[in-house]
Amino acid sequence: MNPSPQEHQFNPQIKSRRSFLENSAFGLGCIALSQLLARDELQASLSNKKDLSTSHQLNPRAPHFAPRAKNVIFLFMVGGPSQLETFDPKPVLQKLNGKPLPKSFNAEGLPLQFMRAVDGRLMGSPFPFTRHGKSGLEISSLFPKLAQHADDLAVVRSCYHDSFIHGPAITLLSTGSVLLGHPSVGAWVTYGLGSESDSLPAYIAMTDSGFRGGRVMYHSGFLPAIYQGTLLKNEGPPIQNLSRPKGIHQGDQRILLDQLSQWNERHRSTRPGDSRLEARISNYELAYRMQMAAPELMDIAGESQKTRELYGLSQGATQRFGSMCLYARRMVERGVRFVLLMNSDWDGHGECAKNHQNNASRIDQPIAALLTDLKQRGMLEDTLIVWAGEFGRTPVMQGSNGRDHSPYGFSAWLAGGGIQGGKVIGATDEIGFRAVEDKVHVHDFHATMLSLLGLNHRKLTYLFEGRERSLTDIGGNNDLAERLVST
Amino acid sequence: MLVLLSLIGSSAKEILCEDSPQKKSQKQNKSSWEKRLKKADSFWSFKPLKRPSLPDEISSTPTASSKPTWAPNHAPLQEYLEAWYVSSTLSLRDRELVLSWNDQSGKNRNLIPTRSRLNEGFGHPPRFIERGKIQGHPAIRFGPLMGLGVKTPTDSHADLYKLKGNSGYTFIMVVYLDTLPQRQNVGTLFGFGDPAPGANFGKPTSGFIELHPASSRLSHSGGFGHNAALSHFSLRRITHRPLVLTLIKKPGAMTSSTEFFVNGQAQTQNPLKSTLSGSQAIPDMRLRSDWSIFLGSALKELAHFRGDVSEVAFYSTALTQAQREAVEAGLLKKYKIESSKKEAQRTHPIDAFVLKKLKQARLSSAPPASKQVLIRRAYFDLLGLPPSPEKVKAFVQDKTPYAWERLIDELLDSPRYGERWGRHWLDVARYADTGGYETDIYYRNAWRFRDYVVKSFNDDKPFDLFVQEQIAGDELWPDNLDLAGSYVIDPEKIKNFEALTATGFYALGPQIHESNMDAKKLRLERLTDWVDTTGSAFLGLTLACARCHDHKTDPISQRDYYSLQAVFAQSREAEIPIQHGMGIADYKQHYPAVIRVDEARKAYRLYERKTGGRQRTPQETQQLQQLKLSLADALLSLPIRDAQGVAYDGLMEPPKVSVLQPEIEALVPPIFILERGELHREGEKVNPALPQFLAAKTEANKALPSAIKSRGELARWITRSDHPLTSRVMVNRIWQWHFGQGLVPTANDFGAMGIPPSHPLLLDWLAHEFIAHGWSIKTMHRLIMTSKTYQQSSNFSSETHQNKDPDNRLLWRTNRRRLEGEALWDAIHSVAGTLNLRMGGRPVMPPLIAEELTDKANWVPSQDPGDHTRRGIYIIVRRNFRFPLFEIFDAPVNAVSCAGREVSTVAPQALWLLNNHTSFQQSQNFATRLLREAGNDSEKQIQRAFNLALQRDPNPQELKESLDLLVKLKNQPIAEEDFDPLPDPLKKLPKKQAKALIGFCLMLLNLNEFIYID
Repeated sequence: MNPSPQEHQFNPQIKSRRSFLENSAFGLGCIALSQLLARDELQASLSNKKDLSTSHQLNPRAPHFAPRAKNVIFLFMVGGPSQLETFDPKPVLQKLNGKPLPKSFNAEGLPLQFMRAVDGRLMGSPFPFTRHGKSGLEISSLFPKLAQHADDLAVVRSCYHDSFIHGPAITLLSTGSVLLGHPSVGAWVTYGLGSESDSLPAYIAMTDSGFRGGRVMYHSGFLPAIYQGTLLKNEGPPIQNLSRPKGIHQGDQRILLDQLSQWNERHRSTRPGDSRLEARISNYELAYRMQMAAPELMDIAGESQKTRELYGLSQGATQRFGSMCLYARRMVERGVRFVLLMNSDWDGHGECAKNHQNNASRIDQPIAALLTDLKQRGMLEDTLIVWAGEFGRTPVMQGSNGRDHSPYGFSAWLAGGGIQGGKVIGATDEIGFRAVEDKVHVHDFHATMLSLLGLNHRKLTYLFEGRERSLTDIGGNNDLAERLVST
Repeated sequence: MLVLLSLIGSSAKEILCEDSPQKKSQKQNKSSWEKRLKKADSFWSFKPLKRPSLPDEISSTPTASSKPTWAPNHAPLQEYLEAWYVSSTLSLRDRELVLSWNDQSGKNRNLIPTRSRLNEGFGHPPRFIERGKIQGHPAIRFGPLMGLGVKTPTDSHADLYKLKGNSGYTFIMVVYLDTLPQRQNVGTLFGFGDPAPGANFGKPTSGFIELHPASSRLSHSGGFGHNAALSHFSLRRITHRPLVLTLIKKPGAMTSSTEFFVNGQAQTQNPLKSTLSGSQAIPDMRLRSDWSIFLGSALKELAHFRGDVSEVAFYSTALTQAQREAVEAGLLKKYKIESSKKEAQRTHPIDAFVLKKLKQARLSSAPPASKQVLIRRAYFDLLGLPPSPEKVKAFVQDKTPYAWERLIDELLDSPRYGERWGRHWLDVARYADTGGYETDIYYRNAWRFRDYVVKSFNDDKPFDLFVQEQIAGDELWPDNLDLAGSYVIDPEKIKNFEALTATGFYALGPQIHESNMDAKKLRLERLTDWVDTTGSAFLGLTLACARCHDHKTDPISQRDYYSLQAVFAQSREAEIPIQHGMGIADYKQHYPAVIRVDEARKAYRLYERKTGGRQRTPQETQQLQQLKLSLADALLSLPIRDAQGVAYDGLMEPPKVSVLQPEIEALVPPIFILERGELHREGEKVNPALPQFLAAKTEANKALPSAIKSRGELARWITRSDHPLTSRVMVNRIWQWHFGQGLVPTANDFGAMGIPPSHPLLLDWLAHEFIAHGWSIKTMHRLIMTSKTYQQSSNFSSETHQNKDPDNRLLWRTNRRRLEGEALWDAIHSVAGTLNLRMGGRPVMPPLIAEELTDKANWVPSQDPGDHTRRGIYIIVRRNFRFPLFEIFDAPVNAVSCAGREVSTVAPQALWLLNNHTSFQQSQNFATRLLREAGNDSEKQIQRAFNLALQRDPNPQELKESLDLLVKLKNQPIAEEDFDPLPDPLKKLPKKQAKALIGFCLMLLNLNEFIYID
């Protein structure tokens, strides 16, 4: 049996090292101590069962095999961006513009949200595609700046699933299941790899507006809460309960914390064999550090004017998502494992072109900047960037110029993390309705992400309700990782 | 089984749910399925439930008793046997009303409900219980208003009883007494003669046995003229255990000659004080002509008792010791009740099982916890609240025997108990007020189910009934709730209504809003939720796997799964009005009030549009304002209640409850086996049926597996006492909620993928006791909490223990528990003195600040400040946005039934307690309370603070450190803008001092000692 990541061998030296650390000054040994504690707790329950003493910790853990990437920035395009307006050019569709859907597409009875596919007329994209970079990757005119990174992007044009409604589809893309209660991708990754930061959450989510999915998008589901994403706010205090109550200054708090730790230590010393008490003591120090680290993370005063301009921070359209992308870089720099940035809303039922133009203008420059910035800092190699929405849109017209949801074939792209860019994987049919070549189900997509991080999706499991659960359920066979990283 | 388990270990994924590339040959599938069934046959959780012998029963050889055992009507006694009632002679259905309990003495003194059948008759009929609390024997269950009496024929009373004022008599009762509320002074178990008090000359003789709730003791009073009362007879526990209770009054004065016996043992610790006095004349029973013998509140002078009665015998003589012992021995044997003598000799059964395992592992167990620790543990365990310092002091100082038992009884009688344990069940029921997913649709009636659960726990509703109500309350207690033209609501109707409310269990699952667009998909989702939750919650089985294929490890076939779906497919969700006919008529009468609001809104909108798109003139603006005011007026004039006093929901919405109802037969959709669980791959059609393998494990019907028709039958089958799973699963949950870990750690999975029990015999014994005590959950609390195992210290460890059994599965100590989110919320407010104990009703939304809200639109802060400090269970549970404190402290995901909460230790928890506005505000309130209760004296404040928050005194070192801390904090700089207005009398303190005290309080709430319960 392959050990799942939280299983470590019992190290008999731990106890004595711990007592050494205990005797040293509290604050100094604290970080090392908490990491040792984490391992201590794990040895207490080697059974990988949900028992009382199994307390999960966030210390860094080795992946199953050599990883390509260490961190992830997931750019979630909520609402479902159209593949036809972005990364999947369809000359045949352009040609058939205004014609009814040919019978040969066999779309009778195919469920869509608002219409019957056979009732609609085909609609070409108003955005021309051109080839970019050495690779000649085709990208539409919506993303002029991103197109400059064409050689970094690997576009998957054959994503598919069968949930044609936002809620379940978002839940599926976020967690691998349409049902509530499953952990999000970031939670699985954090569960698998732990955290590299001792003062920031391992998994952070940000959004540029209200978003549809709610907490399922970053929740830990049935995994322990420690793997849950922390939603960071753009404005005001970034993390809940980060600012001290009015009237309690830093000095006051330090006095309280010192007294607290003294009494907690005394309490603990008379209660042997309960590592949770120690974990909670060290959590107070972590909380104290977080109060400094999170505002520091969000304070971009120290970033150069050039960088600010790169991300488009001074322009209205790009300011919001630009700052999120900049924060994302700063997070990864500070050891955050998984960053989820949500951009919404791409739900172009009405005026699809206008909707997409508007959204693209907000994210094109920031995402391009993120790629540039990571690259120039040598961080792109270690960081996997993923761009995807919960589904794509129909080639048939809804109303006069909209597109309905279509999960049957849509595009996503990946970059960084050792990926050899400038390539296209898979294809949809001639009008971009269904994935037909190299089909990549959401489970395959998730398996690929895990692979790039050195995790085997079949081995990254957690026993819940009588079954060893995994992100990819029974799927995930079409793992693209090898193809993505090969030249 | 081991083989199978290790196989699973090797790579569970592949074996459990492999996506089989090619269909394996049918033959191979079939044989592996048969193998699985064969293995399951000997699997522990499917084996029939038998009462295991206690470890010390095995060793002690049953001494062949030479002593005789007599039936109450044994020949030599027959002559004196005045009346004899035996519950097993009644042929009634379970829960049926007892309209007559016939005398078996041959003297024809039948007991009947006395209400309107006797002068001054008061007693409503009690109920017949098929498997009562006396080791599962049939019993008559007494409760409020209930009483039976014997009506004597007026013409023949002259020679009715041989009782005179100085007679001897004997009374024997096989009874299980429940506690009564402390506020009730007295409850009458049994009586004969005239109960009227006072020395009214000429009154006949009488005798009464009464229960005194405040002290949980019995007394005997009566005599000629009712002028003798014996003081409480015993300190021995007499409630919540099966008793053979005997009273013997010898001829002559009551005082010197009256004795009580409990399970064969005399109870004579207390001196008996009063004497029989009164007239020289000794009247007899003949002076009363109409009635003579009573149980419960048969007359208006007699207060009720609560409990089960299986047998009663009344003799007009004082039995001799030998006679008494023979009859008692007969009854003890018949009802399988342990004699007091034997009970005193043996170890608590739970301890016997636990100690045996520890002995085998050569591990010692922890010493007993101190009383201080125990009361804190019991309070948080049963109520989820800290005890007051006064309670702690009283308990610690109470040196009388059975103080612990009395404390448990007291806590179980508190309405706070149902809120605590009801919350546990809500986890199992995946309770939420919304449907989750993107739209998080609001279930406006879900809270009625929550209140039903709280009430059921408080009522100690038998668990089998509780399960039946939830699965099929609508079918098993059908009621159109029609009142047949009366304002008076029959208690029966209220009971039926409660049973109906229980089916809300199925109406509050997760639901995708948009799946309403696809009726088939919606139905599949719902049926999946209903079947899976039924499996997890009641059977402790994860059925979900069988949706796609025959279960890979448990004996549940795909056919079984869809057959269960077919059971539920005959049901539909419905919202039914709670008002009765008159209320509905009232609503219709007042409906124009709603039209008025609608019209006022229309008027506003019309004028707004008419004057819109340009600058409004001042008159127009004023007019618009006026229209807004009329709208407000119209809203305010909506009635809040109907004429019957039933409160409307919200804006004159008739109150409704969400329930399951039988679907109209013609509309019941056919159910097909779905290949790989996919909607469009319909296979064979199936009919409703029980899971084959499991059905054959019960004796329900020899012809099983049979088709069943309805949820009612499913519910009855699940709650059969020979069902191998139901009782085991529930006692394991109870154990888990007491100890933090179940005997089976996977509480929702008693199948092959679950973890087998650490103490299989103990589990079976508990399950057996559970059923034997009428599925009474409170009885299980008493049983568990009176064990030494429960009362062990948590503060104990050694290398050996840690190495041999790091998870403490052998129970060598008590597990330290961290408070759950709700309990933490409750504890903080309780300590601060701000907890509002109002029960029930629409869920509340305490105010949150911007940074805590991801969805402001749907968080509507409750406007009554009292609602901001209600117990945590009353805070709204939205699937898509959890109350932040609960989210941080491991609230269940509630998408599926939650077997047990995680206990994580993460930094956001520390941040919440340090910095959250609630934590800080309550620290202010805590400080205010200290000032109020301890005055402006730091030492006293510290003392009080420790007492309130930690239930103990500070030691001298802590006192000194606390004083130092206050000084240190006081010396910190402050700024004027540091303070929001402080509550009185805190604001009268110098600001620096107030701030120091608040800081000190905040720190106490952050202590490990505060949040962990030893």
